[in-house]
Amino acid sequence: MNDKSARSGCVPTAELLPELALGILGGTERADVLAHLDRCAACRDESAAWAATVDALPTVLADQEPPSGFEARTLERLRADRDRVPRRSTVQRVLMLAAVVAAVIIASVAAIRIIDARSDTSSSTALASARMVGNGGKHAGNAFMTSGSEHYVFVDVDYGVKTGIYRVESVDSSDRVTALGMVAVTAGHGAWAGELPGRATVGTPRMVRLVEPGGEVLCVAKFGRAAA
Amino acid sequence: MWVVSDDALLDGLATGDPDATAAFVERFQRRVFGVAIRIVNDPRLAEDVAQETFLRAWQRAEAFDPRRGTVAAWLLTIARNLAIDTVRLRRVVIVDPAEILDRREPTGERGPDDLALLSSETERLHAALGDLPPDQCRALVLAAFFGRTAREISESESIPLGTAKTRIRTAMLRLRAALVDDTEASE
Repeated sequence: MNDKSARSGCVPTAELLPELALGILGGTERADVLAHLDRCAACRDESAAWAATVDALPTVLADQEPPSGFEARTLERLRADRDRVPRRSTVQRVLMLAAVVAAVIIASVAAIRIIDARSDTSSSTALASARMVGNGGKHAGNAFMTSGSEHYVFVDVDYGVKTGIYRVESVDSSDRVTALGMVAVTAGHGAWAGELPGRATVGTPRMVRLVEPGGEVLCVAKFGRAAA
Repeated sequence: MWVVSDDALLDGLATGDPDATAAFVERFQRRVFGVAIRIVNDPRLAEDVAQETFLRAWQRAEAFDPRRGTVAAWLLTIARNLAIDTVRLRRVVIVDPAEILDRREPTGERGPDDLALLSSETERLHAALGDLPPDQCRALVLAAFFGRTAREISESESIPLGTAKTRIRTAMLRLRAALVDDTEASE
């Protein structure tokens, strides 16, 4: 993509960057903006500036004294988490459930397609998950992938990733790299879901990773044999 | 009186130092709970969001980049995102958007970094929000603190989609200009 064609999308992209930064842009608009950001450094800078504006917004909300005992309960939860006690909050359970539901929906679509396409086979679909790990072994999020003759991937990026636009790639057992799409991470949060190309062009993925515009790998989710 | 910086407390939290962890929670609990309660409008959910925010801060402390903003802004952004996720998933009844911006005097201890922030960025944001026309301010609050899309705002406000988008964008432009002015003034 040359500079001229990249600039041609700057005006409509600029109109939508505030909504992207706020995390409320969806559908084809979001896809179009992310595709443009992938090839336009100027708009990526502009996107980062909008993200900084959004990051400052919560500071205007007034303080409020938490309920009695909040501090002690919070410190106890931190201690318990550090001690690896498997305790999860209501919010965390709900968020994890949402991630699993999203992944299961993807898996269901895959299963339905498989059944539709090959009603005479017993092809089945299962779901694999893997932690996304960044530099120094830092947890950066989770990736889910359906197994079977078709693969669907769901990537949920968490707070270990800085604001930016990243390429989602799969790497198969032959080290073939396939670009799957783009994910926007705002204030450490972002998600991407999509289908891998057919097996004619892509082998069974052994990992999914996020790559910075400059080509540096940010974090990786490695799937075991069960995902094959 | 010597006050430990927010960055130093975050470093202590990351390493698991008990005193630093307690001081970190003590310093930010009112601000984090304030963000949570104003968005989820339910004390029990707000406490869960606030506790989860501190857990995330500990887990993600090494990812904090001081060049991108203050510890307070980073922490409150975590709280905002968790609260919005909760609102979306629990279908929480949204409070009057005007109420969420109700100003009160700060309570409790603030670190030196936070005090500097209050005297500049936050004050300018408050002023910019106060100067917004009510319809723009309402659209911005619905989008920024409740995660409402332009389409959802157009439906709830009974306005065309294009109008909702324009209100959000215009409000954001004014807030960004206020922050840019702030940056230039501090240089």
